[in-house]
Amino acid sequence: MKTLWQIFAVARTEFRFGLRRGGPVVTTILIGLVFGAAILLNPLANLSMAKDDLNQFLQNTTVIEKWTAKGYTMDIFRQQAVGMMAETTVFMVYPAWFTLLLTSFLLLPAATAASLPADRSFGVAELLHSTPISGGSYLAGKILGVGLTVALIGLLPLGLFFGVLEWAFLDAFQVWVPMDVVVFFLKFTILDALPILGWGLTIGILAGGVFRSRLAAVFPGLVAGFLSIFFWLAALSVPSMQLDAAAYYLLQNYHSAALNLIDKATGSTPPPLFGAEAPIIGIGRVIVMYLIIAVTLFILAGLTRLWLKWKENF
Amino acid sequence: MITVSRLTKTYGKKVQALRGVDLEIGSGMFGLVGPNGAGKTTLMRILAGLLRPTSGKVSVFGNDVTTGRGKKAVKEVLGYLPQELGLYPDLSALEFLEYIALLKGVTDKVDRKKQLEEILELAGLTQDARRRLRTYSGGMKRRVGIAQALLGKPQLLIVDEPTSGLDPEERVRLRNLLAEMSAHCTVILSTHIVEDVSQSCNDLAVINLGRVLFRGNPGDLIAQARGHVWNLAISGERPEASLTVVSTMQLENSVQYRVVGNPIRTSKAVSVEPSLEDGYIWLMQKSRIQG
Repeated sequence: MKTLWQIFAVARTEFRFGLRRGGPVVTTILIGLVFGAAILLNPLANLSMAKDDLNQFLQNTTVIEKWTAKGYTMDIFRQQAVGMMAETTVFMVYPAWFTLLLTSFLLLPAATAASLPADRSFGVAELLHSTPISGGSYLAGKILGVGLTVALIGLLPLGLFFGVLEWAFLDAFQVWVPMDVVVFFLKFTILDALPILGWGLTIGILAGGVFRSRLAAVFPGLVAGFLSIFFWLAALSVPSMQLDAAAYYLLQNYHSAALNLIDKATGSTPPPLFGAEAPIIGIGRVIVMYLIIAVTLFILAGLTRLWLKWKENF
Repeated sequence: MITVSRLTKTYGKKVQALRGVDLEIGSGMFGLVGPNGAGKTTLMRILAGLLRPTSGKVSVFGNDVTTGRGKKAVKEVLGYLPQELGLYPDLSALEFLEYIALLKGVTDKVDRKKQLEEILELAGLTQDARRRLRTYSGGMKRRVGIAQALLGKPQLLIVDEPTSGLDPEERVRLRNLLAEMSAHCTVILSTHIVEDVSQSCNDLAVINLGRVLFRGNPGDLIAQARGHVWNLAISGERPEASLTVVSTMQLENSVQYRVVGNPIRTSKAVSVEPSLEDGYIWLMQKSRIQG
């Protein structure tokens, strides 16, 4: 119980500190914005065209009569348009995913590497080491605290993303973002973006643990992040796809509003997102991915713990 | 009881910070005096379980601090003020002290609140407790450092140069506070300011170049200097180079020096009663002569 309180205390202080200092705040917002822009840019390019089509449709009574005769009401047109937009937005996660990986691993470890050296450069480390907290609890608290900061700050760009989606795309059609799009992005945030961010920040904290100066810790943070890109793609991605197992699983199982509509209208089963030849990834593969991440981080944390014990008798 | 036996500490291959230190420290207030670089901080850090000794034995309340278990046991009862204390500039004093209280295992909310209120009051920080630490003066930061050391009701309080950066009034207040604390726990006060020890410790050791030069009470240290402290009133010349000038006072027709040592010409010298500072200087002088 005392250990949990100690971990909580370190995490809370790191969280407060993170929010008040800005390194992880700026980085996380930047990652969110770059990723969000990568998803939205392509659909945005088509937006004006879609709006023009809609306006022409609404002004042309002949066309409306023709479509109405075929059973297509304004409502169906609107839903299909929304579905298509939703479909495009979600599918853009596929090419944008690598941007998330790249920005997360190149920025986040460098930003969080200063977490442990900060205690030394502020002159607090000796005091902390004189308390009964163990090195393991201290590390756990640090990772949890930075993680909470990043998770909370990550909600800002996510909220902004939904805001832009609504404002830029769907407001023109006078509808809300479809619920299955919201659910997809929430699932994606929790099941894939969070592990990527978690890895990035943990790697940064552990790499920085070896250094005394905050500035010196940035470089190993960058190197660790750079190596992480190769690790992630080699160990966790789906063969022949530039996506990790969790992202692929989510996209593979995504059934958009548009596909639903087509399904209902034609009675046919829509094709899978990655084509008929694409590999099928089950939840088991996703669990293996999480296990690999957990075990690797655990080993790295153990090594950092040993370093602290050897170097600082902590 | 704290027992230190044949303790050595070498940094790298050349710097010998401690060279076979033997000490026994009982309850109450213990002063460790020595010049800068004497090895005081190294000894304090070893006692606090922060530094591994190169060789020798250290037992604190029966716990061997060179083992993981012993180190943890010592930290459970320790209040520590490092020589170079830093604070998180973006936290308030209250947030920082609550953080340390939790790390020290004060998990009961009511108890923690009570301790924080008492300690803030004791340190004279109640009014400023919610201000960010970056806005604190040097003296206030030092008081936060002292406050955190007192959290968790420690049985062993190690304070390394606690009065540096404090104004005279704050120094007196701190000395009194430590003396009060020594009624309930063992206090080890490390300092190079002899006055701090003379006002509050009845047991002390003098350390230099990693060796204990003196171990006893202030009276014994003073007694050693008896017959070696002089008032010397001279004009137009300086005291002999072999003497250590403790103080200088300009008189009407001459300059009066208070010196420690053995002057060759004693015609103008008047032997005076030594103070603890004189005793300390005489000891240092002797150790230099003896090499």
